[in-house]
Amino acid sequence: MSEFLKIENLNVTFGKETVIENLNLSIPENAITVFLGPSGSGKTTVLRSISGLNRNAQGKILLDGKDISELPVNKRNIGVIFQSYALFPNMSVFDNVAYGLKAQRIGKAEIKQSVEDMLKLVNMNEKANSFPDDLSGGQKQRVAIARSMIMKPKLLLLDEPLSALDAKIRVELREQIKEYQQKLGITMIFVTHDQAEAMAIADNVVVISDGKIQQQGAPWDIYTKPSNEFMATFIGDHNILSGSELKSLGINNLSLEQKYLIRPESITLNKLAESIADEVECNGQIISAVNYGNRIQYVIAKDTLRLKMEALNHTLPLKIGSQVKVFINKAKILQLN
Amino acid sequence: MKVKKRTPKIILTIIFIYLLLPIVATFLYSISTSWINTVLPEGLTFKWYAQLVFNPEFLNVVLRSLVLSIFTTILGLVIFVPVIFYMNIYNQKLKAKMRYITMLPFIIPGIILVTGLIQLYKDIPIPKIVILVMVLSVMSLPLVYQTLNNVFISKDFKSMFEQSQLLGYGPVKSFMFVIVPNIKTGLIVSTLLLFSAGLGDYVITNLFLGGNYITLKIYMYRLMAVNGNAGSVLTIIYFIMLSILSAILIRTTSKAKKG
Repeated sequence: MSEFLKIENLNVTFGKETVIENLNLSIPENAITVFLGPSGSGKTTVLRSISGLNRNAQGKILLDGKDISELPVNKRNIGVIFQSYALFPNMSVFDNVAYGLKAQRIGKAEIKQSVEDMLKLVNMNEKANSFPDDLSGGQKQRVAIARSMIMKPKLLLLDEPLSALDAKIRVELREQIKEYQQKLGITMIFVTHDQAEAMAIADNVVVISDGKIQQQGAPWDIYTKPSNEFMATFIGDHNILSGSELKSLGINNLSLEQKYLIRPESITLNKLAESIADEVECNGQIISAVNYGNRIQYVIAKDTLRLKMEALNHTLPLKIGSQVKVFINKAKILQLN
Repeated sequence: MKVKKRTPKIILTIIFIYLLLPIVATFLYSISTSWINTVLPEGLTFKWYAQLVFNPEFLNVVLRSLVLSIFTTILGLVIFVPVIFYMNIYNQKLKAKMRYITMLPFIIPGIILVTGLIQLYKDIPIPKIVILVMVLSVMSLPLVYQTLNNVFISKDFKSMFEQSQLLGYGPVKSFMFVIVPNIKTGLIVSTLLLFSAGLGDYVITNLFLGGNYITLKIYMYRLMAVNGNAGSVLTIIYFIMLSILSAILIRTTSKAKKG
């Protein structure tokens, strides 16, 4: 992996509390890296350390081969998008976007052209003369993104930029951010606690918990090859069973002391089609069914064991209490470290 | 319980008349030739106004009060604005302590404060007027703190300040371009509050400097004892000055709420 941004031995303490201890991380260029983690995991702290906003950060930060650890915030050429948009309420949309260019003492005509182009890109050109208070949340965030992107930052950091928006706008804006990234070739770090959002937008995911990196990789790898039990339970739904529990389901040749992961989609019910060679079959009873619209999540009891599985919602839902045949794909059983 | 719709209106009108009556009487007295044994003044005149306005001592008094108010205002703003800004942006924990400190001016009576100040500064060669300006500024802290702090918690100033720096400006320019224009209302209100604190103080100024520095308020009380008419004139002038200040305050704050 290329090392566009390299963090070496980052340490952050607040008072007596150590929030980040000896963190090392490399981020590739021209991609969206997502910092994913539960609230309070330290992901925003890492982000603020990179931007220079965190004055308690110690360690080395190299951006494009240059050590920026000692540079003040306004000399790092890093953009940050905040959850609260941080638009300047006393300035129009146009002036907000032009703000950073004015600091660079660029000619008026050039500023006007750049701002107009940028507002067109984020589809806000018709609101150039509006003030932030007159905009919706999604519009505000697009202006904030334009204001940062116009500076052509080497790195754009987005700190939970979609968390304050409603579900529909969130998905729209998420797609747009991805589009801007590809169009302008900006390296982005996107912080979120929402794993679905992370999976959808990321080229590269860094999962952080308790100030430590749990795993880094492509979204597919993070989901299919979780490095430990935390990763298995944090990303996606899961069944975690011991080797002896799996033996009781008829799956042999596993270490009895080990823990194993089975994703809900690796389990099927009452199939009419032929079984896959590697499947194990057992009987169970449905004890819970939750309808999520396009899919239904069932919990199946087999003696004292509980198995979560998901089915697409294209048949009549099975009733609670029904006896079912359960098929587990043995090839998808993953040993946890 | 049923309250008639008119009842609150009637009560308010009575209170209004009760408050207004002394001012009307004072105004009448200030323009009367003589008003001793009659229900209404015997004659009307503006001579007391002319007498007071053309009195060189009066101009000196006004000047002194203005000097006191202006310096109190400047000092108050220079000290409080950066402190309240710092607390809101960098160190929210300090606010708990600050809330305690803002209670102190209400707790310590003027007489104790002045006695303490005299004791403390008696051997230190700082002009007493400088100390007075400092004390008056600090005594206005509760109002100024409340006003500015409310402005600071109304928006995410921390992110705005940080964003300005991320976009290339240093902290000082960021403060000037992003913070100041957005706390303008709070700054105007604080300025007026500090100014009227300087203008309106009697207790501390009189106890601390006594006859050495006669301000408008002290002059008013002294004049009242000598010449009731002239005292009334001064009261009316003072009342008009405060009314103008209050009107600006109300306009500024109501505009901010709308906008």
